[in-house]
Amino acid sequence: MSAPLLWIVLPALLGIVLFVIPGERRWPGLSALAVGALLALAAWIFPLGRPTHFVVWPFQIEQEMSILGRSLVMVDDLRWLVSAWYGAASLWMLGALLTGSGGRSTPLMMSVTAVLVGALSVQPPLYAPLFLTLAALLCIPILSPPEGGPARGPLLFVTFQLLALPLMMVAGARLAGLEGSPPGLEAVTRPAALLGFGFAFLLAVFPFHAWVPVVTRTSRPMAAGFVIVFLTTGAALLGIQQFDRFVWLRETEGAFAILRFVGVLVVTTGGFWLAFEQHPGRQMGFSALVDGGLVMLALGLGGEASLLMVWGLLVVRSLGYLVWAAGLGVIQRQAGSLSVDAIHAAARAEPLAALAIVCGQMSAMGLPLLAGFAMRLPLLSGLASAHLVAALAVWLAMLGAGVAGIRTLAGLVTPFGDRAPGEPGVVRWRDQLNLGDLFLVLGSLLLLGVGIFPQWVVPFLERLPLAFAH
Amino acid sequence: MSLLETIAVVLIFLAGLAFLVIRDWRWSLAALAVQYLGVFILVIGWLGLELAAIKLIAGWMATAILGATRPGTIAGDDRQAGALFKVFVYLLICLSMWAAVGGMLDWFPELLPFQGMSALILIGTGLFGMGIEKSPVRMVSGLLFFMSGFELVYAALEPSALVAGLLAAVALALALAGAYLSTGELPKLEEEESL
Repeated sequence: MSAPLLWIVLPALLGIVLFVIPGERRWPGLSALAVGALLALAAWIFPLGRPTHFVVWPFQIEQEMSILGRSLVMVDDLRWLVSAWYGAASLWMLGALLTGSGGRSTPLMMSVTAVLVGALSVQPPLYAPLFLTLAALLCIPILSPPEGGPARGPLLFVTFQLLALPLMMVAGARLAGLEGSPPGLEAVTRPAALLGFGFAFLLAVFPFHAWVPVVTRTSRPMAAGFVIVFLTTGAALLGIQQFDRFVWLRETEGAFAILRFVGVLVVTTGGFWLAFEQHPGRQMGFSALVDGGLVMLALGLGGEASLLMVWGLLVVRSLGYLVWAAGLGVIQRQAGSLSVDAIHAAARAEPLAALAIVCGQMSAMGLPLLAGFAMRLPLLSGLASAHLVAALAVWLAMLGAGVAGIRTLAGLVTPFGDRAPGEPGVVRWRDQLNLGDLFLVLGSLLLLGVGIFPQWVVPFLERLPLAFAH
Repeated sequence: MSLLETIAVVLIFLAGLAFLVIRDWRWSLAALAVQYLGVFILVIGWLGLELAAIKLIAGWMATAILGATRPGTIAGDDRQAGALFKVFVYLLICLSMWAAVGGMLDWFPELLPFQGMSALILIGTGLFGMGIEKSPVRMVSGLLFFMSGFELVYAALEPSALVAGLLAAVALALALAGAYLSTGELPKLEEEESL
């Protein structure tokens, strides 16, 4: 049994099979969740390419699998990242199932995760953008509301992802063989520019972010959150892989300066829109854009410490948006839609969902004592000492996020007014607690716990950079 | 340029024009199928018959998937509004691509001028089609035109079986996505039609 077969091919196919099974939706979703959690656990426990044993049965998981003359390679150091990846996906699937906001496409979340692992494993890495595109195409049913309706959001999303493909593939083909030192800077300038534009499409960098507000308005919050977090994280990891692969890229100060510039651009524009946005779903989308910019700024600082910051931001982002999206999902289910009015009085009608929304949004804003703050603090101090303008941009974006957070808080405690609970578009009262509520509480507590004791996650974060050799 | 290649270039030119101008879904999908035939002829030289056939078969399968959704049931597909404007824009696209092909050949010396021109026409047609269409099937058809143009260029750079297979998977997945979104939109559009 080879690792790529176990963590890429089989889960990708299984997710698709579970998705197309007709009839009742709970069991396929639960099966996908169980498989995803088992794969996360297996990646954590079993070494790759070395003899090991399960209870008394000895076995060895091979690292490589050949496919059509090329190969998928999962080195042992990659398994921590794979474990984190599947673990995060399992949490998102659990949240979608428990809060009832995942729709019938929960198994496809596992397929997307598997294909994204494939993007990091394919050799040569030239083909990785094809895997990202396949993952984006698998996201279309996830983003489509099961009740039908406008297809503009998913189509816009897939269009932007597809536009990135030719740029990155052509750049990859032109840069093949130039991993060490290129014959001259002019030989790599144009391909590197193409690569940069490709990543701009994938990471929804301004002005290529049009799909984010549309998707977060029209799709279910859990679906939109999953796609934004996982696809952009996959693209960011692919970007880090490029720095790992090309010596000249990580030795060129200009590359880091460009990253910082783009990071400032994304953070500033995202923060500006966030300050004026009222729709709760779109607020989450713009906030995710700001977080993407922070990741670029952290990477733009250079050095080993910056990589730890990147991992911290990525891990906390996955957790924070999960809690936020789960809270919004519950509100959407109870109100029938997610609009500005839908969150009115949610603090009384759905207090636990309101708690999750506040914790998730405030963590993304960087409020002290929440997980987001713990990961932003080293970034802010690093930027303030070396690049003051970038630090100011982050502060401004946090201000915009703060305005949005206060607006959400005000909405949550606004009375129903002349509308009654249970009216279309107004959140309904519930008499009984369920497992979804427990998920919301535990998620909020986890955000608080990581914020107060960030040292809990540091040993885990230190293992993730091992996936990249340099 | 051989006779077969000349026919392929003409087919691609006419397919692009037909896709943009004719609103009937049958003709649009026929245009999509015809451009796959043109691309197949042009990439045989680099990929060989086997891999080129993968592109043709996957492309035709994608067309069939889109056709199976019977997008003709969507309101307004039979309108011919703006046909003259679209012909004009299409000719403008072809002219600008003609101007751009020289620069492209500097980047891709592997390509011959007619191959570069065909790829750029497909990319331009796809981008314009995506920009002006609202129906999922027509938007996805535009994306498939765009992808065909890219595949034509990329076949010269990397004649690999894995790439051919993955690009075929992308085309099929795209068509399935278009069909999925189209069936999701149908109730709403039929409702609008009845109003």
